[in-house]
Amino acid sequence: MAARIVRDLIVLLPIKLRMFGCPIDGPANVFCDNQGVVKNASLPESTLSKKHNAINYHVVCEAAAAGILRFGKGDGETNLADLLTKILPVPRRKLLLGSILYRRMKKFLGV
Amino acid sequence: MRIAFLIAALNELDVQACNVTNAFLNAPFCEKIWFEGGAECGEDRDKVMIIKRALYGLRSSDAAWRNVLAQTIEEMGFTSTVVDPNVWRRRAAKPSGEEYYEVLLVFVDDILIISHDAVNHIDALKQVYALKQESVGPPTMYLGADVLKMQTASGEVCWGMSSNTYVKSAVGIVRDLLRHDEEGKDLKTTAKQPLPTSYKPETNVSQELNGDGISRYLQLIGMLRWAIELGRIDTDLEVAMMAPYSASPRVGHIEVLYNIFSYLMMHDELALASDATKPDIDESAFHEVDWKDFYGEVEEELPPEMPEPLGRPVTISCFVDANHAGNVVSRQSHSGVLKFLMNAPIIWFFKQ
Repeated sequence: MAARIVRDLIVLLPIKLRMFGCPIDGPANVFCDNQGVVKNASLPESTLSKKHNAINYHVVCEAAAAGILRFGKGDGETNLADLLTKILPVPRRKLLLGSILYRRMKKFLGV
Repeated sequence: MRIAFLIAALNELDVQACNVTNAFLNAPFCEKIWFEGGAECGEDRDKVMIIKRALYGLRSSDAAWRNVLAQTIEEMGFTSTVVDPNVWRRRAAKPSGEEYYEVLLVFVDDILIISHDAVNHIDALKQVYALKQESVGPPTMYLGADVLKMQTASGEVCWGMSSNTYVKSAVGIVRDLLRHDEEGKDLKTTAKQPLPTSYKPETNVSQELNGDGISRYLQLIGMLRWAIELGRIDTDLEVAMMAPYSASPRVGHIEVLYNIFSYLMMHDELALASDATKPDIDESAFHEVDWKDFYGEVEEELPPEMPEPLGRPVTISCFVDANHAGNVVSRQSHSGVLKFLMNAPIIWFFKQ
């Protein structure tokens, strides 16, 4: 299901960028730490065990076939999306946030 | 707008902003409306007046102003990108010969220009409209967000976006509200994180809030939501977890919102960077496969009227995670998506 949400969000971005005249370098790289999802979306020979997810499955795989996105297994420890799904202990939270949000004191210039 | 700043950083372009003074009065009004002059008309009081200019507050004034501005921008050689009519592009070349698209963003009377020669475009606009003197130059604020130059961990200098000013004033409002409620009550100064690690809002069984409490709860959620939109990704999960209780929040839930504000008060100096360095992508994570047997010759659908791509290419990457059956009562899952263009976060999304 999460993969379907990703696909729906991803297809919109290239359309916008293309209309801005911005070239896009290859398919979108999607990192996911769930091995099952990655296998289903990146290997044609994988068999899906859940029947009711079939539509979402094909929508995602078709996007992969069209070269819009590709699924890869990301490291569970450094998956930035963890910040948006579970409440993390302070040290890990700080580690993940450190690569997105910057502290004003140290890293800002002037202004 | 985040995409625009990224394009600027990627192609090493200049960013200039300006704001048009009394913008609407530049536009001729397109309807026939009259009124009787009141006391503000001095000698002409009680005379019948016909409106010639798009006055602030009239219904079609916004459209009249947009038409006039659109015409000026078109005369400058820009074309509207259909996907967002308020984003305009124009083919241009840098002195080095490198071709790219200049981008012009409009929000009512705020104009943002991204080009190697942005100052010239501002001058062209100056010929037509009276610009607010203090608003001309590199942007410092855009739609409530602070815009600033910053340095990333890799030493790259780029544009950044922060909700610092907004968060500060929001925290001020909340502290005033608390003081008004009860003498001596204030936000805690010990919050290291927005919510405790094992917190589950669904298990809270404290008393339900009354009407005033509910409207306070909605007010707080609204402020937090805008802070997130302006770049506070770090509280997105927490606010999204608390927002479904807006219809009938409990005392425990509103206490938690105050805790999120305490966290914001203690960590108010954070900014998002439009970092245009190429992300380090591990190719071994991906498989090269052939889907032809399953889906035939499918291709990505390209938008019609798409211009020829120019400038440096961007890489899209995305992180996704789900918290399977994270809600201990309803067993709903949470999904989180974080989308990057190069190394700049563009979209963050949370679904329950």
